[in-house]
Amino acid sequence: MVSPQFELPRHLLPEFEKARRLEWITIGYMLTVIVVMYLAMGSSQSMKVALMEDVLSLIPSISFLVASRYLHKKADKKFPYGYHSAFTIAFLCGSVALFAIGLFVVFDSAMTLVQQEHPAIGSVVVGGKAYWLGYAMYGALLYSAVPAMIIGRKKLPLAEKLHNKVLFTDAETQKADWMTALAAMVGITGIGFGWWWADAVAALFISVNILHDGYKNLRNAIADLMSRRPQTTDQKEEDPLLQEIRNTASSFSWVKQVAVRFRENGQIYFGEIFIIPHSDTPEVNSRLPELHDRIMELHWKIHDVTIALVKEFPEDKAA
Amino acid sequence: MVLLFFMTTACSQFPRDPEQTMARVNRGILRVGATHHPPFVVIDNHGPSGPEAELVSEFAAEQHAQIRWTISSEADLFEKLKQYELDLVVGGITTRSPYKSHAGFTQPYARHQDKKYVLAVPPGENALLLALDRFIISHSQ
Repeated sequence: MVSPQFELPRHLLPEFEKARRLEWITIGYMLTVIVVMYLAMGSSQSMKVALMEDVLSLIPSISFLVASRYLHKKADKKFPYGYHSAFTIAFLCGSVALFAIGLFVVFDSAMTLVQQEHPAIGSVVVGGKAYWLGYAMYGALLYSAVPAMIIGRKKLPLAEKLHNKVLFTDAETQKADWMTALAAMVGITGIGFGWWWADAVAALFISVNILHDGYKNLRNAIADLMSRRPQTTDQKEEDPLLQEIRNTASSFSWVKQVAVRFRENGQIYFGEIFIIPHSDTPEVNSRLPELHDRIMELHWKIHDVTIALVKEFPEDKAA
Repeated sequence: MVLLFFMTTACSQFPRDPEQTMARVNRGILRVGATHHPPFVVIDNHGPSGPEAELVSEFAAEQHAQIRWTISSEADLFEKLKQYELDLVVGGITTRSPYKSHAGFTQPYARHQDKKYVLAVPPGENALLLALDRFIISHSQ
């Protein structure tokens, strides 16, 4: 049921389909996790925060699926730059939600600690016998973490291949689910040993994690909207593709100097290449199509390139 | 590591009471607060009676503890419970009680007309809560 992806090269289409399938599976699985966690949470603060984190994790999955529906729309008169920003918008909304809820749960968990609330963790009746609810919580937490880690591990290589930031952060977050489950389990075990504060401390730890994730993602989303230059998928360095572009352009004998300016728009790059040609180049304009084609061939992510012949480079704007 | 978890939880008392309520009960005294709320708890010249009073008496007997009754209003009793001055509160409390945050509620010992009737223990005293739950479950059979 996939709409034709005009910007992805053919060999990546099945990978994209795999990613979509994994995201549907994620959503179905997370819905069951939310039900199970809700039933087992009792008055535990760490379970409550873990549940919120589970609800929040639906956002990247839903964003990916919704945005991937828009990507196939070609640019038109009304939206001449296309619809690629659908991803960026989804990313921003998700980050804001994550950050805001992170703030809330940090505050909420800190308050339970400060007010010295002793959580009452009673029992659950199974087959006519009463068992401590804490054990049910262990079960719920394991169910919420183990499949998530497996799915996350499967998504990560797809995210790298597709150079997809949303999928990448989603996969990394899922893979790290074990930390939340472990923290909550330690908290509940602490309660079992009579340390009433263990649960609130665990909740605080998980909350700070959520806030940190929200902050990181928000910073990235904002950088995207500010048209930051393309980075590697882990956001640490300039995408080496940019240097490849510079080198390719420089390899033409008529090109004296090259500077580039690119930004990300969804999963593809838009940009300008500024060229100072050698002054004695004959019919320099006819050289442009060949250069343009060579650049476009470098990678499928290079989607829209404008080549400008200039006398000097715009100050501070390109490199 | 998961195995270590379960091993530690299997030994000795688990869960435990942060305020050592169960330990005190095992030393012989169960401090119960009761409020007049017929037919669940009836307070008269002879002291507290009614199905909840009987339930509590049986539990105390099982734990080899003597009951020390405190008769007062619901509000006062829950306040004392929250301050760990009482071990148990009875008085026709339902799961919809506004004092939920002051206490831990047991499994319902009776259901009637959409309402679930429970006993209340101090917040966080999970060993006592589990013991009561097990008692209630075994008695409703």
